[in-house]
Amino acid sequence: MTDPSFFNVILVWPILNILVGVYKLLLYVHIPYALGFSIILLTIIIRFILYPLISAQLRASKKMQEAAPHISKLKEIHKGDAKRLQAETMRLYKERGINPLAGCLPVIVQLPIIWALYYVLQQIVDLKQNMVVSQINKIVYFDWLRLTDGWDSSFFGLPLGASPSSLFAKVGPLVILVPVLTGFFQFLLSKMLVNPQPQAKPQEKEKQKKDDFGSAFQAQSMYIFPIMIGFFSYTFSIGLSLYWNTFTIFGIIQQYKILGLGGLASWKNKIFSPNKIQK
Amino acid sequence: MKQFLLLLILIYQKILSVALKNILGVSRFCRFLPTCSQYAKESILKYGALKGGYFSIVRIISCR
Repeated sequence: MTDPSFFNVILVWPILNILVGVYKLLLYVHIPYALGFSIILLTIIIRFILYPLISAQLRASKKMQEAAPHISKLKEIHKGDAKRLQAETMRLYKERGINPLAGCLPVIVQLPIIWALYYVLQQIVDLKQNMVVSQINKIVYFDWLRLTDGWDSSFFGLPLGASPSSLFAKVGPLVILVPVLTGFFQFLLSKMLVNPQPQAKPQEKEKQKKDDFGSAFQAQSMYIFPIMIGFFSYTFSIGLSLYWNTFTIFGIIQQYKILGLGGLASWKNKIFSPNKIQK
Repeated sequence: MKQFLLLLILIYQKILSVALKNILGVSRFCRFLPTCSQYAKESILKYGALKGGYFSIVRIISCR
Protein backbone atom coordinates (compact mmCIF):
# COMPACT_ATOMS: atom_id res chain seq x y z
CA MET A 1 0.00 0.00 0.00
CA THR A 2 2.86 2.40 0.76
CA ASP A 3 5.09 1.54 -2.19
CA PRO A 4 4.88 4.06 -5.05
CA SER A 5 3.57 1.78 -7.79
CA PHE A 6 1.55 3.27 -10.64
CA PHE A 7 -1.77 1.94 -9.36
CA ASN A 8 -1.05 3.23 -5.85
CA VAL A 9 0.02 6.71 -6.93
CA ILE A 10 -2.77 7.24 -9.43
CA LEU A 11 -5.72 5.70 -7.60
CA VAL A 12 -5.05 4.24 -4.17
CA TRP A 13 -3.39 7.24 -2.52
CA PRO A 14 -5.91 9.87 -3.66
CA ILE A 15 -8.78 7.68 -2.48
CA LEU A 16 -7.01 7.01 0.80
CA ASN A 17 -6.47 10.72 1.35
CA ILE A 18 -10.17 11.41 0.82
CA LEU A 19 -10.93 8.64 3.30
CA VAL A 20 -8.58 10.04 5.92
CA GLY A 21 -9.99 13.54 5.33
CA VAL A 22 -13.54 12.31 5.86
CA TYR A 23 -12.42 10.35 8.91
CA LYS A 24 -10.73 13.42 10.42
CA LEU A 25 -13.86 15.48 9.82
CA LEU A 26 -16.13 12.91 11.46
CA LEU A 27 -13.70 12.62 14.34
CA TYR A 28 -13.71 16.40 14.71
CA VAL A 29 -17.51 16.49 15.11
CA HIS A 30 -17.34 13.50 17.49
CA ILE A 31 -19.33 11.04 15.40
CA PRO A 32 -19.02 7.56 16.91
CA TYR A 33 -17.74 4.70 14.73
CA ALA A 34 -16.02 7.31 12.57
CA LEU A 35 -14.13 4.79 10.44
CA GLY A 36 -17.25 2.85 9.44
CA PHE A 37 -19.10 6.04 8.56
CA SER A 38 -16.08 7.31 6.62
CA ILE A 39 -16.25 4.16 4.47
CA ILE A 40 -19.92 4.88 3.75
CA LEU A 41 -19.27 8.55 3.01
CA LEU A 42 -16.25 7.80 0.84
CA THR A 43 -18.32 5.40 -1.26
CA ILE A 44 -21.05 8.01 -1.65
CA ILE A 45 -18.49 10.66 -2.67
CA ILE A 46 -17.01 8.35 -5.31
CA ARG A 47 -20.46 7.46 -6.62
CA PHE A 48 -21.31 11.14 -6.88
CA ILE A 49 -18.13 11.69 -8.90
CA LEU A 50 -19.14 8.83 -11.19
CA TYR A 51 -22.79 9.95 -11.28
CA PRO A 52 -22.81 11.80 -14.63
CA LEU A 53 -20.88 8.98 -16.28
CA ILE A 54 -23.30 6.31 -15.11
CA SER A 55 -26.36 8.46 -15.83
CA ALA A 56 -25.25 8.92 -19.44
CA GLN A 57 -24.75 5.19 -19.66
CA LEU A 58 -28.18 4.42 -18.23
CA ARG A 59 -29.92 6.83 -20.57
CA ALA A 60 -28.07 5.44 -23.56
CA SER A 61 -28.87 1.86 -22.64
CA LYS A 62 -32.53 2.77 -22.26
CA LYS A 63 -32.59 4.38 -25.69
CA MET A 64 -30.82 1.39 -27.14
CA GLN A 65 -33.40 -0.90 -25.64
CA GLU A 66 -36.14 1.15 -27.23
CA ALA A 67 -34.35 0.99 -30.56
CA ALA A 68 -33.85 -2.78 -30.38
CA PRO A 69 -36.99 -3.74 -32.35
CA HIS A 70 -36.03 -1.33 -35.14
CA ILE A 71 -32.57 -2.79 -35.26
CA SER A 72 -33.87 -6.32 -35.61
CA LYS A 73 -36.02 -5.02 -38.49
CA LEU A 74 -32.90 -3.58 -40.10
CA LYS A 75 -31.20 -6.91 -39.58
CA GLU A 76 -33.97 -8.61 -41.50
CA ILE A 77 -33.72 -6.14 -44.38
CA HIS A 78 -29.94 -6.13 -44.74
CA LYS A 79 -29.34 -9.78 -44.03
CA GLY A 80 -25.91 -10.83 -45.30
CA ASP A 81 -24.73 -7.26 -45.90
CA ALA A 82 -22.89 -6.58 -42.68
CA LYS A 83 -21.39 -3.27 -43.79
CA ARG A 84 -24.72 -1.86 -44.87
CA LEU A 85 -26.33 -3.08 -41.65
CA GLN A 86 -23.62 -1.39 -39.59
CA ALA A 87 -24.08 1.90 -41.45
CA GLU A 88 -27.86 1.76 -41.13
CA THR A 89 -27.59 0.94 -37.41
CA MET A 90 -25.32 3.93 -36.86
CA ARG A 91 -27.74 6.12 -38.81
CA LEU A 92 -30.60 4.91 -36.60
CA TYR A 93 -28.57 5.69 -33.48
CA LYS A 94 -27.92 9.18 -34.76
CA GLU A 95 -31.59 9.74 -35.59
CA ARG A 96 -32.68 8.67 -32.15
CA GLY A 97 -30.00 10.71 -30.46
CA ILE A 98 -28.17 7.77 -28.97
CA ASN A 99 -24.95 9.22 -27.70
CA PRO A 100 -22.04 7.54 -29.45
CA LEU A 101 -19.85 8.50 -26.49
CA ALA A 102 -21.70 6.10 -24.26
CA GLY A 103 -19.97 3.00 -25.54
CA CYS A 104 -17.78 0.83 -23.43
CA LEU A 105 -15.64 3.71 -22.17
CA PRO A 106 -17.70 4.58 -19.06
CA VAL A 107 -17.43 0.97 -17.96
CA ILE A 108 -13.69 0.88 -18.59
CA VAL A 109 -13.22 4.11 -16.62
CA GLN A 110 -15.29 2.92 -13.68
CA LEU A 111 -13.69 -0.48 -13.18
CA PRO A 112 -10.27 0.65 -11.91
CA ILE A 113 -11.96 3.13 -9.55
CA ILE A 114 -14.27 0.49 -8.11
CA TRP A 115 -11.33 -1.87 -7.82
CA ALA A 116 -9.14 0.76 -6.13
CA LEU A 117 -11.89 1.53 -3.64
CA TYR A 118 -12.19 -2.16 -2.83
CA TYR A 119 -8.42 -2.43 -2.52
CA VAL A 120 -8.10 0.60 -0.24
CA LEU A 121 -10.82 -0.61 2.10
CA GLN A 122 -9.45 -4.11 2.27
CA GLN A 123 -6.03 -2.74 3.24
CA ILE A 124 -7.55 -0.32 5.73
CA VAL A 125 -9.61 -2.85 7.63
CA ASP A 126 -6.73 -5.32 7.66
CA LEU A 127 -4.24 -2.84 9.18
CA LYS A 128 -3.02 -3.88 12.60
CA GLN A 129 -3.80 -1.37 15.34
CA ASN A 130 -0.14 -0.58 16.02
CA MET A 131 0.56 -0.08 12.29
CA VAL A 132 -2.26 2.36 11.52
CA VAL A 133 -0.53 5.61 12.42
CA SER A 134 2.82 4.85 10.79
CA GLN A 135 1.33 3.42 7.58
CA ILE A 136 -1.30 6.09 7.02
CA ASN A 137 1.05 8.97 7.80
CA LYS A 138 3.38 7.74 5.05
CA ILE A 139 0.70 8.33 2.43
CA VAL A 140 -1.22 11.46 3.46
CA TYR A 141 -0.60 14.55 1.29
CA PHE A 142 -0.98 17.24 3.95
CA ASP A 143 0.22 17.62 7.50
CA TRP A 144 -3.25 18.25 8.85
CA LEU A 145 -4.32 14.82 7.62
CA ARG A 146 -1.75 13.10 9.84
CA LEU A 147 -3.13 10.73 12.40
CA THR A 148 -2.00 10.98 16.01
CA ASP A 149 -3.80 7.91 17.37
CA GLY A 150 -4.97 4.64 15.92
CA TRP A 151 -8.61 4.37 15.03
CA ASP A 152 -11.53 2.49 16.47
CA SER A 153 -11.99 -0.22 13.86
CA SER A 154 -15.40 -1.36 15.01
CA PHE A 155 -18.84 -0.45 13.71
CA PHE A 156 -21.77 -0.85 16.11
CA GLY A 157 -19.83 -3.50 17.97
CA LEU A 158 -18.70 -5.42 14.87
CA PRO A 159 -14.99 -5.28 13.98
CA LEU A 160 -14.71 -3.94 10.41
CA GLY A 161 -11.82 -6.26 9.62
CA ALA A 162 -13.62 -9.50 10.53
CA SER A 163 -15.92 -11.44 8.23
CA PRO A 164 -19.41 -12.70 9.17
CA SER A 165 -18.10 -16.27 8.93
CA SER A 166 -15.45 -15.62 11.59
CA LEU A 167 -17.90 -13.66 13.74
CA PHE A 168 -20.58 -16.33 13.63
CA ALA A 169 -19.37 -18.13 16.76
CA LYS A 170 -18.74 -14.93 18.68
CA VAL A 171 -21.68 -12.72 17.81
CA GLY A 172 -24.26 -15.35 16.99
CA PRO A 173 -26.56 -16.14 14.07
CA LEU A 174 -27.72 -12.53 13.75
CA VAL A 175 -24.55 -11.81 11.79
CA ILE A 176 -26.13 -13.77 8.91
CA LEU A 177 -28.13 -10.60 8.28
CA VAL A 178 -25.05 -9.05 6.67
CA PRO A 179 -24.82 -11.46 3.70
CA VAL A 180 -28.60 -11.71 3.48
CA LEU A 181 -29.01 -7.95 3.22
CA THR A 182 -26.11 -7.69 0.78
CA GLY A 183 -27.72 -10.32 -1.43
CA PHE A 184 -31.11 -8.66 -1.11
CA PHE A 185 -29.93 -5.22 -2.24
CA GLN A 186 -28.05 -6.79 -5.13
CA PHE A 187 -31.21 -8.64 -6.06
CA LEU A 188 -33.24 -5.42 -6.09
CA LEU A 189 -30.75 -3.85 -8.50
CA SER A 190 -30.64 -6.94 -10.72
CA LYS A 191 -34.42 -7.14 -10.73
CA MET A 192 -34.66 -3.52 -11.87
CA LEU A 193 -32.48 -4.36 -14.86
CA VAL A 194 -34.84 -6.94 -16.29
CA ASN A 195 -36.91 -5.40 -19.02
CA PRO A 196 -40.56 -5.57 -17.89
CA GLN A 197 -42.12 -5.89 -21.36
CA PRO A 198 -40.62 -8.68 -23.42
CA GLN A 199 -40.74 -7.61 -27.05
CA ALA A 200 -41.74 -10.02 -29.76
CA LYS A 201 -38.94 -9.91 -32.26
CA PRO A 202 -39.60 -10.83 -35.86
CA GLN A 203 -36.54 -12.95 -36.38
CA GLU A 204 -35.46 -16.33 -37.58
CA LYS A 205 -36.50 -19.20 -35.39
CA GLU A 206 -32.98 -20.20 -34.50
CA LYS A 207 -32.08 -16.65 -33.56
CA GLN A 208 -35.18 -16.40 -31.42
CA LYS A 209 -34.21 -19.55 -29.60
CA LYS A 210 -30.83 -18.01 -28.91
CA ASP A 211 -32.49 -14.84 -27.67
CA ASP A 212 -34.78 -16.84 -25.43
CA PHE A 213 -31.79 -18.56 -24.01
CA GLY A 214 -30.14 -15.21 -23.49
CA SER A 215 -33.09 -13.67 -21.67
CA ALA A 216 -33.61 -16.83 -19.64
CA PHE A 217 -29.99 -16.58 -18.67
CA GLN A 218 -30.44 -12.96 -17.69
CA ALA A 219 -33.48 -13.94 -15.62
CA GLN A 220 -31.50 -16.73 -13.97
CA SER A 221 -28.56 -14.46 -13.25
CA MET A 222 -31.03 -12.18 -11.48
CA TYR A 223 -31.27 -14.89 -8.79
CA ILE A 224 -27.88 -16.54 -9.01
CA PHE A 225 -25.80 -13.38 -8.93
CA PRO A 226 -27.26 -11.94 -5.69
CA ILE A 227 -26.83 -15.32 -4.00
CA MET A 228 -23.20 -15.37 -5.08
CA ILE A 229 -22.68 -11.85 -3.77
CA GLY A 230 -24.29 -12.92 -0.51
CA PHE A 231 -21.86 -15.81 -0.18
CA PHE A 232 -18.93 -13.53 -0.94
CA SER A 233 -19.98 -11.07 1.71
CA TYR A 234 -20.19 -13.92 4.22
CA THR A 235 -16.44 -14.44 3.84
CA PHE A 236 -15.46 -10.80 3.17
CA SER A 237 -14.88 -8.36 5.99
CA ILE A 238 -17.67 -6.21 7.42
CA GLY A 239 -15.93 -3.08 6.12
CA LEU A 240 -16.16 -4.34 2.54
CA SER A 241 -19.83 -5.23 2.97
CA LEU A 242 -20.40 -1.70 4.19
CA TYR A 243 -18.79 -0.39 1.00
CA TRP A 244 -20.62 -2.83 -1.24
CA ASN A 245 -24.06 -2.14 0.19
CA THR A 246 -23.59 1.61 0.04
CA PHE A 247 -22.48 1.19 -3.54
CA THR A 248 -25.50 -0.95 -4.45
CA ILE A 249 -28.06 1.21 -2.65
CA PHE A 250 -26.71 4.29 -4.38
CA GLY A 251 -26.97 2.37 -7.65
CA ILE A 252 -30.59 1.46 -6.93
CA ILE A 253 -31.48 5.09 -6.19
CA GLN A 254 -29.71 6.34 -9.30
CA GLN A 255 -31.38 3.69 -11.43
CA TYR A 256 -34.76 4.69 -10.00
CA LYS A 257 -34.18 8.40 -10.60
CA ILE A 258 -33.25 7.90 -14.23
CA LEU A 259 -35.10 4.83 -15.44
CA GLY A 260 -37.85 4.34 -12.86
CA LEU A 261 -38.61 1.03 -11.23
CA GLY A 262 -37.87 -1.15 -14.24
CA GLY A 263 -38.45 -4.81 -13.40
CA LEU A 264 -39.59 -3.88 -9.89
CA ALA A 265 -42.76 -2.25 -11.27
CA SER A 266 -44.59 -5.59 -11.36
CA TRP A 267 -43.85 -6.05 -7.65
CA LYS A 268 -45.16 -2.62 -6.87
CA ASN A 269 -48.41 -3.46 -8.63
CA LYS A 270 -48.69 -6.72 -6.74
CA ILE A 271 -48.17 -4.98 -3.42
CA PHE A 272 -50.29 -1.91 -3.95
CA SER A 273 -53.13 -2.95 -6.23
CA PRO A 274 -54.90 -5.25 -3.71
CA ASN A 275 -55.20 -2.25 -1.40
CA LYS A 276 -56.85 -0.25 -4.12
CA ILE A 277 -59.45 -2.97 -4.64
CA GLN A 278 -60.22 -2.97 -0.92
CA LYS A 279 -60.76 0.75 -0.96
CA MET B 1 -5.09 -20.79 -30.03
CA LYS B 2 -8.43 -20.47 -31.72
CA GLN B 3 -10.11 -22.64 -29.12
CA PHE B 4 -8.42 -20.71 -26.35
CA LEU B 5 -9.66 -17.35 -27.66
CA LEU B 6 -13.16 -18.71 -28.10
CA LEU B 7 -13.08 -20.02 -24.54
CA LEU B 8 -12.00 -16.58 -23.27
CA ILE B 9 -14.88 -14.95 -25.15
CA LEU B 10 -17.30 -17.52 -23.76
CA ILE B 11 -16.10 -16.85 -20.20
CA TYR B 12 -16.48 -13.13 -20.79
CA GLN B 13 -19.98 -13.47 -22.24
CA LYS B 14 -21.35 -15.89 -19.69
CA ILE B 15 -19.71 -14.69 -16.48
CA LEU B 16 -17.86 -11.38 -16.67
CA SER B 17 -20.36 -9.51 -18.79
CA VAL B 18 -23.30 -10.69 -16.68
CA ALA B 19 -21.51 -9.80 -13.45
CA LEU B 20 -20.53 -6.35 -14.72
CA LYS B 21 -24.05 -5.57 -15.89
CA ASN B 22 -25.46 -6.53 -12.51
CA ILE B 23 -22.86 -4.63 -10.54
CA LEU B 24 -23.04 -1.44 -12.58
CA GLY B 25 -26.76 -1.69 -13.15
CA VAL B 26 -26.58 -1.36 -16.90
CA SER B 27 -28.66 -3.60 -19.12
CA ARG B 28 -26.20 -3.38 -22.01
CA PHE B 29 -23.05 -1.47 -22.61
CA CYS B 30 -21.93 -2.30 -26.13
CA ARG B 31 -23.18 0.12 -28.72
CA PHE B 32 -22.71 -2.29 -31.57
CA LEU B 33 -25.03 -4.97 -32.78
CA PRO B 34 -24.00 -7.79 -32.81
CA THR B 35 -22.05 -6.91 -29.69
CA CYS B 36 -18.27 -6.75 -29.82
CA SER B 37 -17.85 -10.10 -28.11
CA GLN B 38 -20.33 -11.79 -30.44
CA TYR B 39 -18.63 -10.21 -33.44
CA ALA B 40 -15.22 -11.38 -32.19
CA LYS B 41 -16.52 -14.91 -31.72
CA GLU B 42 -18.00 -15.07 -35.20
CA SER B 43 -15.03 -13.52 -36.95
CA ILE B 44 -12.56 -15.82 -35.19
CA LEU B 45 -14.69 -18.80 -36.17
CA LYS B 46 -14.82 -17.59 -39.77
CA TYR B 47 -11.33 -16.17 -40.37
CA GLY B 48 -9.21 -17.89 -37.71
CA ALA B 49 -7.46 -16.58 -34.64
CA LEU B 50 -5.07 -14.17 -36.35
CA LYS B 51 -7.24 -12.42 -38.91
CA GLY B 52 -10.43 -12.72 -36.88
CA GLY B 53 -8.63 -11.44 -33.80
CA TYR B 54 -7.34 -8.48 -35.80
CA PHE B 55 -10.88 -7.64 -36.98
CA SER B 56 -12.11 -7.89 -33.39
CA ILE B 57 -9.48 -5.50 -32.09
CA VAL B 58 -10.26 -3.00 -34.88
CA ARG B 59 -13.91 -3.28 -33.96
CA ILE B 60 -13.31 -2.67 -30.26
CA ILE B 61 -11.07 0.32 -30.98
CA SER B 62 -13.66 1.80 -33.34
CA CYS B 63 -15.94 2.12 -30.30
CA ARG B 64 -14.16 5.36 -29.58
